[in-house]
Amino acid sequence: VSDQGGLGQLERTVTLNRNKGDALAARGRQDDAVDAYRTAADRADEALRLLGIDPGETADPANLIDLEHAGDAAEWFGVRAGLLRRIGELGQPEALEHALQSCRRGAEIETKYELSSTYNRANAVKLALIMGKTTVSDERGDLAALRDVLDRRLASDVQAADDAWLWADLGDVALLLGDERKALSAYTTFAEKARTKSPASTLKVLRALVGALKTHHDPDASAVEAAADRVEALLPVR
Amino acid sequence: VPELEWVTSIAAVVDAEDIVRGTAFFVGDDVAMTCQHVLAAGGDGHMRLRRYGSEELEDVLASDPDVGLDLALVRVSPKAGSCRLALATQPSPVGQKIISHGFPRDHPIAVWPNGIPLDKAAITGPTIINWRGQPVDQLTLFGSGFQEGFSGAPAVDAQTGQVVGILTRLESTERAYAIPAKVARLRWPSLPTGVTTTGTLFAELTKVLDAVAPSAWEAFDPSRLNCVIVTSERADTDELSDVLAEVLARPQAIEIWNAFTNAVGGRRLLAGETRSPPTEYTMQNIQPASFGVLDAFESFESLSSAARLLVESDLALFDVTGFEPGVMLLLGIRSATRRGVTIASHGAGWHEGQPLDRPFNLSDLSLSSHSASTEVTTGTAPRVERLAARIRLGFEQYARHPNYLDLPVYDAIRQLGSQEDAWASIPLDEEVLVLCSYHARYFPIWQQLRIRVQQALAASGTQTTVARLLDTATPQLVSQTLYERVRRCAACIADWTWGSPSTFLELGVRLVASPWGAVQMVERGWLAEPADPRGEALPIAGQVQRMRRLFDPLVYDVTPDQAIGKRIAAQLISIREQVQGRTLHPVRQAATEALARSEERLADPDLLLSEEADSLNHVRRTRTNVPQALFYEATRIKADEERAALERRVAAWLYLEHRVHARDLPEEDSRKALWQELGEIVVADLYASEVDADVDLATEIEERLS
Repeated sequence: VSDQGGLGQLERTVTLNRNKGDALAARGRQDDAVDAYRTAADRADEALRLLGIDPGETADPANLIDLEHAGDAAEWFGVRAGLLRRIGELGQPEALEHALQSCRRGAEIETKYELSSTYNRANAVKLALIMGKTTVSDERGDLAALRDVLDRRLASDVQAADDAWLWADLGDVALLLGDERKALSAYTTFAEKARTKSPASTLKVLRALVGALKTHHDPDASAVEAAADRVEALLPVR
Repeated sequence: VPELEWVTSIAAVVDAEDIVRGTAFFVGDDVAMTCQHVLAAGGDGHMRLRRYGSEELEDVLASDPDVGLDLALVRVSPKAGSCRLALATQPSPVGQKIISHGFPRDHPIAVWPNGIPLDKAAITGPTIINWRGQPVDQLTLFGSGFQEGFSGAPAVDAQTGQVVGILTRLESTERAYAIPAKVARLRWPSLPTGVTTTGTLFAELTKVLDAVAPSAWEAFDPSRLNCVIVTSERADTDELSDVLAEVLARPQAIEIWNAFTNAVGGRRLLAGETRSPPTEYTMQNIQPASFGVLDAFESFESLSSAARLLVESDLALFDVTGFEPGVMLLLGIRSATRRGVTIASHGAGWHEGQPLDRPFNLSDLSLSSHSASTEVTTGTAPRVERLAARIRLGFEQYARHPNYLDLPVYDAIRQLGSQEDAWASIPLDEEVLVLCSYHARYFPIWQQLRIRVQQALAASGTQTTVARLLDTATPQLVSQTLYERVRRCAACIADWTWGSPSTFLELGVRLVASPWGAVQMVERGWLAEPADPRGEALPIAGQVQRMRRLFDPLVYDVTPDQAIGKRIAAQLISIREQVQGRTLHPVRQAATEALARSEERLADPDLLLSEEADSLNHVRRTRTNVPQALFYEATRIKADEERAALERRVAAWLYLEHRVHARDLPEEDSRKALWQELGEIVVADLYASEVDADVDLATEIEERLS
């Protein structure tokens, strides 16, 4: 667990292979992309094992983690989920199940340890919607709770307010709740604070979400799509 | 003066082949003075002296030469009661008749065993030589009969019988030059003056008084924390040293040690070593030194030792109570030479947060206080806690910031730009920089000084501008302009009058940063009773006295007159004519030598570029995604910083790959680890590009990494 150097090395390898997978997928080389994502996901599993967590277990690992490493554990579950989601989007839907499972485990850790990060919680909702397991209406209660958590956190914790991902989460949550104005404001802040390439990947997920809602005939699909269009169009680019 | 009363002190300097190389004269029972070039003319062979009236050749047993001055003292076996000459304490007037006696070449010693007297000579006036980076007067003599062989002979005032100079160089048979007695006494302060005739010995004259040496470390130790304390004249106790001792004795000193080892560990020195202090803290890991400002100015040797310690120390603490001139000068030396942690601490009842008049060029300095707290407290005294925190934070920031500064100057005199003329010297005929007080009481002095120097230089054919910093029409910040000019101006005048702390700090910077030195001056009344511009006496008489002895400033009365203007001009012109590097000021010389031992190597491009990349777009931002650009709201600015960071990392990786061949280095070599790490970061970023060529490059680099 104390091997921070090992975690750093794994983080670099994961980033490299995730970006490589994205580049290959964008150039139509889906099999090679999946290989790269798989390599990255394996490294994420390795990182979790370094933290003393078995990524294959379904049991709540929260009790096994000490507070010091809870943030790392949640982040690695989120990273793993993102990679598995990508694999799932490339024609391997069973990976989406693993992605959702990973997100939910990360979300449990975030909640239990009251972490500032909400990445897993927001993604668990989005993934469940993408997979058609729930509807926007079903998730409204969780989304409102998450919005409140984010509102409180962003208003009171200046370091959390510097984290672009939290603003992206707030944008997603507000959009799904139909609060277009709040979503635009949050996405704008996100775009300002994040690395320049981050908004594109977030909007890509948003587009995938809208597409999935339509595919699953979610009653809110049209409203979410219209809101997403308007928000995307209004996002300032300086 | 009856000839026999002094001429028996004369001796011929004879080499191993019995050739007479010049003249010497006795100044003590076993010691004679001559020219360094006379001794050198004998090559490696043994030199002897043959006294006036004697046929005995006495072996030279030891010598103390000064190449810069072209003077030397030589030791022979003592002869009690033998005649010797005394040196004059006051210069002789122009026109004064001079007598001498020597051993010219065309008067063979076999025929003229006692040499011959000089025909006739008189002082025609002073000229200037540069000694140890300082302009000093030299006498010109006019007469007849100057010949080779008179080198080393005394120029004796015919009226007083005292030596006013030592003949060193002849221009013709009618004109010769002599080093003034005053200069010889600066070099050997114990040279006899007045009428006493016994007792002086070579060992006494050449004894080097280095008052700093007893408390100095012998050599910079890269495995320890080298720490120096400079105390003020008014400090009647070792208060600052005591506070530091308490800081280092507490269990929490381990935090300071950890911060220090983190800051310097792994840094490579020019001397070839890599600093690796032990991880465990013990008091033995601290290499301490402490000296007072009076010690520092006791002699040039003391000042050199002080400069060495200031350059070599990782941590320097200055007692800046009252901003004493000597302390400020030493602070200037430190600030120009070392980026390490420096703490300026004020005592005398002042506490941090209270108002305090500060020198303008230290206005943004974070001052510490070592005044004892008046409040009754239990546990560790607040001043100990505060000092400990400052030291720890200092090393932490030093580790974090490549350009860490806690004093002004360091970067300002180095980072002058990349244009070829950015660091070029500013010649005398362009500008004379004046370092002086800006107080209203000094203004009339300044007005006269400017006019007198300008007029005197014009009379010598040099049209120039005499300017203080504030007189320069530039929009640039004063601090930035000042130190650049302190370094670049070949001509510089520093006036001590009114004891402006800023002036002395600048003078310290000047002495170490410029090979040209400074013409120093002071008003007589202030010199006698140093006071601040409000008229309050300053308790700095000891250091001012010592600094006067060392730096020999030109003294003027009330305001500079025409005569002082001429002398300043003559010194400035002589500085222009000096061969650079020949006679460096001892401060610069000591600092240069110390830097060669303790200076860190400049970072290699891989480290420099990767650090710069991290400062633009840290690699951890992939995960944390917090804004790093100052104006992150502008996407273009942010994108440019991300691009610049990527290109720097690519450049660093290519350097490691093609120049260092890091791939072939052993696994434990840190450069290989950096090559791997940078490679992975670069590949990840290139894959994120939408440009195919970037993705191709990512693939290439990835293959090299695997």
